Amino acid sequence: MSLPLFFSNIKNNRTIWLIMLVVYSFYFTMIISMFDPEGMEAWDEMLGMMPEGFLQALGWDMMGTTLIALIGTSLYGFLVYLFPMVVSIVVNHRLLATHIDKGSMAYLLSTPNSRKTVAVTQAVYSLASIALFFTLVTGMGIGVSQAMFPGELEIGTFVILNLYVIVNYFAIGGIGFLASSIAHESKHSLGIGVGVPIGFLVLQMLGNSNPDYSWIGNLSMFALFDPEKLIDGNTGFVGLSMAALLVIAALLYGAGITWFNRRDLHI
Amino acid sequence: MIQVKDLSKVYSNGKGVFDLDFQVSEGEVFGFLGPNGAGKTTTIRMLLGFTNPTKGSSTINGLDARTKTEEIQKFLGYVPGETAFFDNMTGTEFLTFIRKMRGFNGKDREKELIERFELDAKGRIRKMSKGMKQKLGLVAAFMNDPSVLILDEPTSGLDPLMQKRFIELILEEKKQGKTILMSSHLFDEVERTCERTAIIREGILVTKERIDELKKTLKKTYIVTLKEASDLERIENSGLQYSMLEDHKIKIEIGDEYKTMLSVLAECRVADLDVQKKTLEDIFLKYYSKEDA
Repeated sequence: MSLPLFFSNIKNNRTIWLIMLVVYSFYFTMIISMFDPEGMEAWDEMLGMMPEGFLQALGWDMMGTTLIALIGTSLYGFLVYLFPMVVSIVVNHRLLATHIDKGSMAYLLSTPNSRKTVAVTQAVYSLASIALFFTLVTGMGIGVSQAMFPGELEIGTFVILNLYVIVNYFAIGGIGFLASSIAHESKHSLGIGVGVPIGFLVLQMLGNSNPDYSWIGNLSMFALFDPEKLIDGNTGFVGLSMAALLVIAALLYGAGITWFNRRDLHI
Repeated sequence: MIQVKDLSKVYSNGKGVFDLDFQVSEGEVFGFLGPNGAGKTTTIRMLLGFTNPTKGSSTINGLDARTKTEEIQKFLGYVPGETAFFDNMTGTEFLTFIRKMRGFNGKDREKELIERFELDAKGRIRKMSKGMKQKLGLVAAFMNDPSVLILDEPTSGLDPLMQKRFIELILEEKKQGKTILMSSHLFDEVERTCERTAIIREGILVTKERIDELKKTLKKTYIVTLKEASDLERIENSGLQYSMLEDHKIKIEIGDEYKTMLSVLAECRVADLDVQKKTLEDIFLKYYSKEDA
């Protein structure tokens, strides 16, 4: 682990993470403000205008009546992937592949830091930035909910929900990190880093859209992330899924570090 | 000491470098020459531990170049062939970053190098000229006073004055007993700094010799115009190697038989004497071109 490299990562990526945080906060506040403790007429009205298949694909057909259910299904059901995933992929791409492609990796490695040290530092940054981002989102979510609807949010469940998101994102980050460490060219890193998670999303949407094809959804890694099960109190599924996602993340990051340590670097 | 033993790197297209053998001792500047694409950078990448050799090994001060990079980098300075930095940093930020990455605090040498190369490190690296980037690379490589230096075309992009300052720096480093491997296309630079050179072509070492030995093989050519054709006889009898150019004009080629030539010419009525200069460049170019070798 190299602290100077870690701090330089923070500096290089702070803007993109900050923008994401602002966008996410805005979105979060909007969703929460739509909550009506008396009922969900506004939502029902809006959802009534959309075709049912579309709602099912997004996982919005089970929209609950509590605040946590609203957040869980709307924000964490599908849209949770949209923005942070893009940032995570771009950041992981920058951590190794960009340095290899541009050749600046030569400067990192011509200091007394082994490849392993460099790769471990980048992996730690990758994981830490995800954890910090969702920790801030959690704090912000609790703050906004308490300000607008005091006492309505089940804070304990909300925290666990976000831990669940974090481990899910560790696995997504692992895909991007592995792609970043094995790619010979920039475009391959981005291609795999974007392609694989998008592929999983498409599988999930296909599985959701038609009950006959629900098995397709289970092929997706994101079948392991199901906030509705958490809200329904299915702790067994959630616990196992979180463990599985952590194992996947550990394998992906581990493979990335090992591969980077052994590969040929044309820098 | 840099030791390269039986080192090969074969790429899937069949290109690469094959069975390289050479060593660079302390206090020696070793010139590594060859045309573009000959395998200089491929070799240097293996010395830096960036790529895995297909066969053979290389060591730097006895440490394996592929696996012991962390230890080696404590005493190694490297100037990459391509200058790719952290674009969004300023030169000063970059140097600070590298210093921190090395866990090294001394700034005196860095300041001295910045003055020597007249580096303006304040601006963003992205906006710097090629020469300025190269200077930044030189400062970064030399600033922790490494005992082994691997330099891949270190003067590319530098103006002639800076090239001169670079040669001065190399000669100082050499005096201090540094081990220096330098790839270059500038024969003058090589001639002034290196004791020995290796020339690589299409991945194979075609020659590996001391520069002064190479120089001895150079014939000096003199174009002599005589006033009287009758003097030709004297030259004929002297045993000097010569050929007729025109009626009164001859070309004499000698190795180090200056005395013979001068004494013969002293007896002749010479109208004009001209030197046709041959340099190391001629030798190098012979190895560079595909047809001649």
